[in-house]
Order: sequence, then C-alpha cells, then structure tokens
Amino acid sequence: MNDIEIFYLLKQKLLDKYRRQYPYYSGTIHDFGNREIAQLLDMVEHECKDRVSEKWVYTHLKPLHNEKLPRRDMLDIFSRWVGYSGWEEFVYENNKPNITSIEAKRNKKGNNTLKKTIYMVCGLLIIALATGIGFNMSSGHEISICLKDKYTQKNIDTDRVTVYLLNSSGKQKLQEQNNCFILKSNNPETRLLVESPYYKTDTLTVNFEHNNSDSYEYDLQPDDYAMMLRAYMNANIDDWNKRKQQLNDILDDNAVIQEVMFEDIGVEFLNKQEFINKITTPTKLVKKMEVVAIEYKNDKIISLKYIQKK
Amino acid sequence: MKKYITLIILLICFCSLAQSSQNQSSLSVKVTEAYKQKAADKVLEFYNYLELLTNPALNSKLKEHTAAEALNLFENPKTVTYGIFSKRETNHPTIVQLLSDAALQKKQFDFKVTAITATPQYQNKGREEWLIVYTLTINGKKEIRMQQFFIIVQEDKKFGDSIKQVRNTYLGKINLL
Repeated sequence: MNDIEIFYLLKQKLLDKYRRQYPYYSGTIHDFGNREIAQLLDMVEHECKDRVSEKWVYTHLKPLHNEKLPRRDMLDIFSRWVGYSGWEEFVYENNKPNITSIEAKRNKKGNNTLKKTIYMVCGLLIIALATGIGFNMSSGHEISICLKDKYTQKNIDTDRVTVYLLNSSGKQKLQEQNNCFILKSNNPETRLLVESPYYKTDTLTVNFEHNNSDSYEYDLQPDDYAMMLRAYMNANIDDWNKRKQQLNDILDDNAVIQEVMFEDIGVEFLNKQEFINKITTPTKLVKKMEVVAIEYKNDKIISLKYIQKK
Repeated sequence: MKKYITLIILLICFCSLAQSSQNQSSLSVKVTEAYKQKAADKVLEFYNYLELLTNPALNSKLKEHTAAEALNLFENPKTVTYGIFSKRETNHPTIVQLLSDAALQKKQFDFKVTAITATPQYQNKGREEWLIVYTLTINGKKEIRMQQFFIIVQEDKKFGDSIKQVRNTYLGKINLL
C-alpha cells in the first residue's frame, strides 16, 4: 500500500471509531456534514487534547480522492485517536499484511527442503502455542463485569456500552452474557476501557488477587454533556425533554446538590430544578463536571456533590 | 509555686489560642481560593451560554432555555453589560438585552476568556463583592480587557420542603477597561 492508500485506511478507521459513539450514523466520512464534523472534532479534542480545524476536515477527510498526503502533525493526531502512537506506527502496522505476502511470494521460489523445514517449524510452533493456550486457560481468571448507572443504581444494558480489555497489543472487545461482560484474563491485574454514547468514558482496573468473587460491579457516570449536546445540535426536543424527565424521576424533591472544591468546601448550592436546568444545557463546564458523592433516600438522590475538573 | 502554675496555665492558653487562630486563617485562605476559582468558572459559564445562544442552528425553545440559564447567573436582570454584538463601543445593554442580541446572531461566536483574576473588594455581613478582571477574545480576533463584579450573598434557599441558608454566587456589572 502506498501512503495515500494507508491514509484512506485511516479515514475508514476514523469512521469506525466515530460510529462507536454515534452508531445511528449510516453515511460515509465523505458525507459528513457540519454536525458530524463538530462531533468528530470534539471527540478528537477530548481524547488527544489537540484541536483540528473544520477546514482541515473539509480539505482532507471529506474528499473521495486525495492527491497528496496531509500534514504529518495532523496525521499523528488522528492516528493517536484511533489507537496508535502516531502516523509512523499506523503505517507500519497497516503495511504488515503486505510484507507477509511479499515474503510468501519469495518463499515460493525456494526449494522443497526449505518448504518442508518451514512446515515442520510451523507445526511445532502451532503445537507449542496450543499447549501454551491450553495451560494458560486452565490457570486463567474469568469473571463477569456488570455495569450500573451512578444516578439510578440500575443495571446498564450491555448494548449501550462497549467494554475493551486493554493489553500490550491494543484493545479487545469483551463478550456479553446475561447483561454483563465476560472478562477472561491470565494476568493478576487487568485494565478495561468502557466507552458509551450515554456514559462518560472510563477505565477500570480489575485485580483478581484482591477480588475473590466471580462478578464485579462498577458504576458509570451518565454523560449528560454528550447527550444534551446531541439533543441541542439535532434540535431534538424529545430527547432533551426525556432526559429532563429522567433526572426529575431520580432526584428527590428535597435534593441538595453541591459543587465542592478542595476539602469539601461548598461553593454552589443547587436545588433539584436548578441542577436539572444546569446539566441539560451543554456548556463546557457541564462537560467537566464529575460526581464525587451521592446519597440516596428511598431510591432517589437526596444529596449529590460534584467537582469541576480543570 | 503558685507563680509557676499560673505561668504554665497562661502558656497553655496562649498556645491553644495561637493554634486556633492559625486554623481559622488557613481555612479562610482555602475558602477565598475556592471562591476565586468559582468566580472564574462563573465568567466562563456565562460566555459558554453566550456562545450557545449565538448558534443559529438552535431552535427557539433551546435558545429560551439557554438564555434563562445565563440570566440566572446574574443578581439582577437590569445589570449593565458591554455591547459585544454592537459596533458602537458606547453601547451598554442590560443583560436581558445582551442575551436577546446573542440569540439573533446569524453566525456562531467563539469566546475565549484568559488572564483572569478575582479580588475581594467589599465585605459586609452576609455579602461580599469581588472584582474579576479578564481578557475576552472574540472569534479569535478582537481582544478586549473587561472587568466584572462577582457577588457572594448569604441567603435563604428552598430545597423542596425545606429552606436552608446558603451562600449563593452571582455575576454583576460588566465594564470595559
């Protein structure tokens, strides 16, 4: 593959990742409108802490054909966003199949003895690998990860969340079973990445040595900013009202919501309605709100404390 | 002997008083620092709302909601502001007028607030007024230095059936420096 072809592959990977957040988007990257571009740039900025201009997307991502490769720093940002250290690694990793096929073609020219030796070595390797896998499986860990909504304390449907196992070779999607995720690992400690269009992206560490149970529960904080931004940008009043109603249902009428700083110094006190109005307006500050404590009374939130992350 | 005992008691009293006053001052330093941060956040929140309001894609219902939220940041709806959307520098609309001007814009504005400082100016029982100074960059081009009041008021607030006394914070008048 030449550089332009690899760039087309990067575009495809960008679209794949974008669709994980916005699964209902059915177009291609070439059909991206203002809204999709804004959402994409927002995601990239959030994760990579780098800003890309809309103009750049129009010039380089939207066109069907690219005559030349865009600037390297931009390629680095997008490569990082799709899980590589930069453009160089993206090119290297995605050129690997080509290298293998070139090697394979070269081998054809070799003699039969060489072929036999290769087959023998491969056979031995496969046997060794299979034995290793079998051994590891029997000594590995398996637990189920169940996710709960931090506000409602109800189980989250697995189709609303994707959980990845993070390891040195990248990330691997966990399978679902009975509305939970199944984690199989041979390491005593495992890191997971949780992504969802409805909840804040989170990483969790599962320590098998300290956790003897075969299930693990974890609370996810709803991403009101993302939900409200989508509702705002799509002028979707129904979704907006629905979220307001959900918040109304989970907050007690007498709820006290506090913004706290440093050692629990309350700098803002909101009642139920003020809090609902605040978090259903997608400002950058709402994006950086993080709930630090919740108290419940009769299954409803009676007290909530949040901090404003910098 | 009595002299020594009196001296020791006095010494203990002095030490404990010194300790207590030290605690009090370090706490108030923390609270002041927290409100400095809150003042800066309040200004950022205000310009976030203004940005949202200028988005022509927003429908009237969402603009109305956003404007109401922005207005809630201010102590008084008649608060005088600076005419960001006006070409005349002498324009000083009220906050209500400024929000209405924002909602009428045909292009989305981009506001950046930098070099922000907040300093206590006036303190009375239950009320403090601070002065916030900041640089506002409009659409990455125009830079203006502004000052704005930040008010902390001790007042009763309704939380469902109960009323609690809390410290509320508001924004005040905006001036061009």
